[in-house]
Amino acid sequence: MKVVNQYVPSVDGKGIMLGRPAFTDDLAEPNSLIVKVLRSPHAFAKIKGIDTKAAEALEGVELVLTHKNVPQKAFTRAGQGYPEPSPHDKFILDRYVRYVGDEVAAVAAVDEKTAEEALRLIEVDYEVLEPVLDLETAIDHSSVIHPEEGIREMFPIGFEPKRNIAASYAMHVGDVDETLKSCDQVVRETFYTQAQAHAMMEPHTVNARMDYQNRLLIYSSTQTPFHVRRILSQALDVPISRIRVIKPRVGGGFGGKQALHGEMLVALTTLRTRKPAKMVFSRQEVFESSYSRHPMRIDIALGAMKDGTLKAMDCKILSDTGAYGEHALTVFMVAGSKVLPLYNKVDAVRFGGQVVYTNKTPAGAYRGYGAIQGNFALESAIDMLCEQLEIDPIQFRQKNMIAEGESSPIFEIMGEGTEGTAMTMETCKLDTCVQRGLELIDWHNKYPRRILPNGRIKSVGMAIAMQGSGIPYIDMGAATIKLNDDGFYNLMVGATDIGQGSDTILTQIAAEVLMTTVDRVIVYSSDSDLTPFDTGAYASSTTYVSGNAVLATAEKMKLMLLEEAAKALGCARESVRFDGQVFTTDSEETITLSQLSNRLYYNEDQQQLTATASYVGTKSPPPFMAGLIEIDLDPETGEFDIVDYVSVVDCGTAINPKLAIGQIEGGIVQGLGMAHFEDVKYTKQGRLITNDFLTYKIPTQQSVKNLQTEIVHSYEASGPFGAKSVGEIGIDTPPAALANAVYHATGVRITSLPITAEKRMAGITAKKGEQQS
Amino acid sequence: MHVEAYHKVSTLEEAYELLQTHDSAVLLGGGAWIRTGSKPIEHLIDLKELGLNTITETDQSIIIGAMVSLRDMETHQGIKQLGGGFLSEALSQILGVAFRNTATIGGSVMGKYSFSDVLTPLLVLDVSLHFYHAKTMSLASFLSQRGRFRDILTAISIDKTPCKAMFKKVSNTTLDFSIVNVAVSLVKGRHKIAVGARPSIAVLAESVMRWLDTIEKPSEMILEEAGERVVADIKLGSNQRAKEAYRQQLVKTYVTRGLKEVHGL
Amino acid sequence: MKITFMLNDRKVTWDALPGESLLDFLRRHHVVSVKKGCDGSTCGVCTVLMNHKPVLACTVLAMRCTGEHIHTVEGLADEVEKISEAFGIEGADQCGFCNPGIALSLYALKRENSNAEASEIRQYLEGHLCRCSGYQAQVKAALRYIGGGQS
Ligand SMILES: Cc1cc2nc3c(=O)[nH]c(=O)nc-3n(C[C@H](O)[C@H](O)[C@H](O)COP(=O)(O)OP(=O)(O)OC[C@H]3O[C@@H](n4cnc5c(N)ncnc54)[C@H](O)[C@@H]3O)c2cc1C
Ligand code: FES
Ligand code: FES
Repeated sequence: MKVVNQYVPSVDGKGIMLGRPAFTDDLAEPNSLIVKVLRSPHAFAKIKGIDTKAAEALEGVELVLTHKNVPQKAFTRAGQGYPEPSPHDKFILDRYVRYVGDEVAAVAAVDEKTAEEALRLIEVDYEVLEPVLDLETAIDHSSVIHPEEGIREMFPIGFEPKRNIAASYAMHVGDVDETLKSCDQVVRETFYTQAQAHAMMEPHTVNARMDYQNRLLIYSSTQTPFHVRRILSQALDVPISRIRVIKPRVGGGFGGKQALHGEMLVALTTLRTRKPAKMVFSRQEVFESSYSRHPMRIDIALGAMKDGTLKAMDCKILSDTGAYGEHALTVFMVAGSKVLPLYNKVDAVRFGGQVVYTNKTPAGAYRGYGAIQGNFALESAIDMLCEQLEIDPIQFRQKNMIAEGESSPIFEIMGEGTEGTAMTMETCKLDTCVQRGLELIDWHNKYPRRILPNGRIKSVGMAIAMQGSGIPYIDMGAATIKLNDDGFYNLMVGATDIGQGSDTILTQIAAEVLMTTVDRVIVYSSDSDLTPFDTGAYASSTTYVSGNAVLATAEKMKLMLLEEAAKALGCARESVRFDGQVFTTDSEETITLSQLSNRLYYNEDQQQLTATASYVGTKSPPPFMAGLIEIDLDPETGEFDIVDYVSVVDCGTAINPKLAIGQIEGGIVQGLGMAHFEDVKYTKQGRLITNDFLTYKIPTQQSVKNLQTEIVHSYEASGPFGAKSVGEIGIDTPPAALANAVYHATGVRITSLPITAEKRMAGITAKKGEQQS
Repeated sequence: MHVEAYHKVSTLEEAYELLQTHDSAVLLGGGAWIRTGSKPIEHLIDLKELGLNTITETDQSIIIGAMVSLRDMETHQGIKQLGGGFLSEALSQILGVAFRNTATIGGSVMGKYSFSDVLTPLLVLDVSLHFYHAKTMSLASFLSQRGRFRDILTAISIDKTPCKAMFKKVSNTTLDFSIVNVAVSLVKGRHKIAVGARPSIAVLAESVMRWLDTIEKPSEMILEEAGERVVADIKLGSNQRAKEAYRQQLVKTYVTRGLKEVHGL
Repeated sequence: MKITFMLNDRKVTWDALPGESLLDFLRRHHVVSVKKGCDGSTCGVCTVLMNHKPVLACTVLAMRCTGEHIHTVEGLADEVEKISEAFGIEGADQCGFCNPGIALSLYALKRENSNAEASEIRQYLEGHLCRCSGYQAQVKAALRYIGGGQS
């Protein structure tokens, strides 16, 4: 292969570094109205009265929106397959506010200062209600967060709003209780994970204008432009043909932009005023009023025999979706469906629980999408079980984990809020990942710990993980390739590059098939008017699903070219060879691609060559990985340095190995942030304290000293050029690997994230106390 | 940030005059902290053109103009010599280079920030503050003053007497506020121990310092006891960044380690 | 109020508001390479050079720029291209929202310390948050740029 699986720099890196206008706010109309939102100071309240007269009278204010003058039709902001597996429980503006930061009203004004002034002039009379702030007491709480009429589920997802339940689910294989009883050793533990913030560098940004055809044109920093168009059309009752959504360059998403945030209010402003309008979330709004990861309580039980055979897994989860139920069920299910099949040889497995509403910042999609939460619990518990069994945790994993050619009944049972798809692991190099990971970190010389002369302790820990590659029979990608004169191509994809490099790798796939170089394939993503449909950048789908679509499209284009070349050369298609630049017949007559293109557009047989193809997966081949960490811990303070993080990944054949490694490393560092210091704190009244980069810390240049990342040799026949996905898997292992390393260093098992230095120290102190008494 | 009137002054008199006439006037150092406030500012007095941005050295001391940036201070050769470079080290742990190119020493002292990583190391040195009106005052007595202090800091001076010193910032990342910070110095047999971000403002552990000064060649055991005494002597508390118990553990550990370091143990 | 300063080596006179940050001021005048990530001195994406030193445009007042030299990536295209080559080779590009700021700091670092090592690079770039990359590829790219194209 010449272009695929090769070093190719990203197609857009240079222009972006040079500061060319690329991001949503760079493309806003200079005279846009500024849209600002009045946000709730209360965790839960009913708006008894709202007086906007003074605000409306202020010079420069063009529009004030409240629940009284916006359409009242429930929808979900989640950009997911349609009909969505998320409850329709959100109104554009509502008479209830359900968390601190929820939208009360919006103002559009000529400038920021006026808009802010207008917000101050709006008088709201609240009836403050008792908030539900603890996920463990949410069900059947005396406060009902969604008492309103008109909300609904699109298909059965266990939606019981009167009980504060957004979704629920249960499944089992075999008899878990009986199997656990028959086991030699059983471990039971409860784990807690926190509401990690996406903290993408570009805040949520949207702008809108009416174009010269009097259509609504929206620029949005979104992961799902086609879902944005559909949801806007449905909620605002505007024909979908009157809306165009452009996704420019997006400055990071990680799931946080897999939903509508400012789009509704900005679109309404432009529709009502006919003027361009824009909104850029402040950093505080990004933290408080967009999305976060679903916090979970995970009760897990594992049972095994003395010989180290894992027999049963039981996993009960309570997940907190905050004020609205976006992605409630599907994230919850992934905590089982992309975690439990790691150990596929058990006799019995059970998974279930509820997703509850609370009066907190809504949770939504976030890289890992449940898998990181489930992985923390399972991979911590596996180490605990091994300790009880006195079995080496590596050998235990090697014996029980999933292998190539095997399957798990869970694949068939659990899907995207519905049933799943049975599949066999055509590629699974998990064993190689583990083996190579042990070598790279020098596990055998370092496990479990070494005490250094200065009293510090170095230890190692590990975890394995899996993810998916798109959602079978749901995620759809399409591509169009257009031939231009002189023989270069346009590649139009609906797939959304949000920084993960999909524009580059899709270009590589097209260039490989067309035997050309990436500079001859000009990629464009995504514009609902111009590019073909794509469900969007989520569920690790782009390389696999959209990549397959590009592959099919390029193949089609190649056939068209051969056809046209044959015509031009006056022979049968079968007797034409093409090397990317020159067509040659059996009798060695030639025509170049450039000549052929010019002929097609200027001289003879004039026509436009355009190929389009689509792809929808029939399975979701999981990538696998082993993550191994080495820490250097100070037992007198609980502080540590992360000395090394080794990732060995089976993502099939990487289309662009450097960019794939970037995806993995970015995921690892994000996962490490979640694992040890990204802490989410609320006041007793339910206000988010950690609402800026001063109080909510994300990893910096100095947080991790060394990353070693390798991709193992693997070829997934169903993927484009052997590829599987790689966008999410990196984030899954750090919490459990770290928890296991901390245990090895200190004997302290920390079961709630983040594993802060303070918690580690408290554990060390308590342990000392135990030993002394 | 909303500013009604921006005053670019060319003399200290002019600045002082404005400061006294307008009760709401604010002096502009680097402006980093001022910007975090949400209140509109009626009069903002820019000190930039007053030539307060130089560092000069005499035989006894280093004099740092109030408008010197934290970065210029950090990279100054003379300051790098102080206490084995511990002050430069402390400054280098405040946000990023670009931030430190803007934030000033004047704003850092006058803000009296409880989380400060500047005040703690300065406290274990011999530091005087020079004001336009109130003339000279020691850092420690400035910090113990209460109420509004409407004067212009023109410079700080640091005594250059060679010393051994250590600073430790405990935080999640270097872009983070300190959970707690500790500075220790030893000058001609005299000890200084300062603790900041307790979470309240930095203080010297005076009684422990005096106790240590009386002991000739303190042993490791004594230094460990000193760590415990500091915890008993100064007030530590809880906030959302850490609980008191954890701060106690950190202070005890780092005071002892700092003392061991300055004693070469 | 009108202020006159040097933007990318050209004299400009633009209107500034008294409390306006350099960041809002530049973006209002369509210098959009300078990004807003936090508006609170905590992320580094707004970095510009003031008299060849990196500063946070959200932190500095526009009024303070009178008579000063401000550089953004638009004005240092040759050098930024070299940095971007290095980023390309090391696969350090992701969403790129942090990249203009990082490029300016790297350029300043090279001027200050043409032998900077990995640990010094990490320290110098510490103020630049990047949520995408995991940083390691950026450090490799920085080493390559500072080493004159060699890794
Ligand atoms: C986001 C953020 C994070 C920070 N993190 C840390 C940290 O981790 N550790 C740390 O130690 N510090 C930290 N700081 C504080 C920072 O280091 C500076 O101390 C602070 O910004 C003040 O410096 P400045 O030059 O910006 O002052 P300004 O904001 O200009 O002024 C601060 C105050 O001092 C007054 N003032 C300024 N100069 C004078 C003068 N010459 N005479 C009299 N009064 C004057 C001003 O009127 C104002 O009241 C942080 C600041 C910010 C904004
Ligand atoms: S926008 Fe200036 S530091 Fe974040
Ligand atoms: S590349 Fe996205 S923030 Fe750095």
